[in-house]
Amino acid sequence: MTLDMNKLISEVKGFAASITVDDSGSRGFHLDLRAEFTGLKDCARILLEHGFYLSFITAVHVRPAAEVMYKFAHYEIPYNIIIRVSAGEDMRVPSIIDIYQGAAWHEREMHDFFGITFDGHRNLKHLILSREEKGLNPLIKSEKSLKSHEEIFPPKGTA
Amino acid sequence: MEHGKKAVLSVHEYAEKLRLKAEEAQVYEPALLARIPVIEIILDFCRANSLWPLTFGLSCCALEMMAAGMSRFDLARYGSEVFRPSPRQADLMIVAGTVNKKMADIVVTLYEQMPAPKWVIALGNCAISGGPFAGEGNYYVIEGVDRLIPVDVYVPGCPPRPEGLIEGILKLQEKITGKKHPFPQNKH
Repeated sequence: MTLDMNKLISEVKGFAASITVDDSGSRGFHLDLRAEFTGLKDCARILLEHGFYLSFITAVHVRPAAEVMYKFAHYEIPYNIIIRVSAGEDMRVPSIIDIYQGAAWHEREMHDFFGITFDGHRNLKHLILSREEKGLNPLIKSEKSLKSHEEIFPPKGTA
Repeated sequence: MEHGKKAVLSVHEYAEKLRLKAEEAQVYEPALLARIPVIEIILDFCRANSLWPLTFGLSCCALEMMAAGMSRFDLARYGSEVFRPSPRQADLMIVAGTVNKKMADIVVTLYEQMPAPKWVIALGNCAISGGPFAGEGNYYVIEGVDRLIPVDVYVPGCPPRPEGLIEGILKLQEKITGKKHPFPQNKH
């Protein structure tokens, strides 16, 4: 099965800004991709072809901009893949619901809690909070408690 | 921070608004034609020994409530034979779990639909005072269900053990009848 993984890594390498390969013992992933804004849907399409399913979508508000994190896993091979996409100043990320339909509610939850807009999502309504709380965005942090990505996820070997 | 203190304040205001609306719609017990104390005492003993709870498990404390209703910590031996799904048929509302802003309206509606005489047990820290969610970062949890409806017995714990819930129901029986382990319960 390792041969398959090398093929996968070589396919996604072009779209990802940085790739980290791990053994899932300390950080919980085998592969961590920091994807460019435009490469997200291609990465997702490649993962779908290789038989991965979407586990969950979450987000972290770091400096400079919130990062959306997608976790993929496989039914037969124990292999966890994480894709991180920075939402940018305007908080927009392309939606992957035409590739993974199950992402629809996860993206609604991220919109509810962080205010991130997913381009191409046809039903970005409130899911967990109620309609009156539009604009509350409770998980957005204040300026003084923001940290950069490296402070929260230090590279392996340092912490 | 635009949330923080302002969010907690907005949660409290929402709870207060709901409570005032519920208090206006409260139906007090109608005046009886003739008050016969002996019959009232007998009726109180009957009500205490057959409290039918409304299934209102909201989060983790619901599991403890289910455990108290099952065979190991049997709640049926104290009269709570059936947990009614409809508020019209229940006289005890056990609020087991966290009450959010979205759920607060529903809690008040169900309480209003229960026919008098009715009692409320707040099970667990979340129903008593917001539990682990109360504090500076709170933006959505109502800090205690007694901001919405009047509570008779508070059962602390996170979650309380099923024996704690049983003790709460016995305390409620004592509150209703004035006497612990009312007739015909055996004391041993």
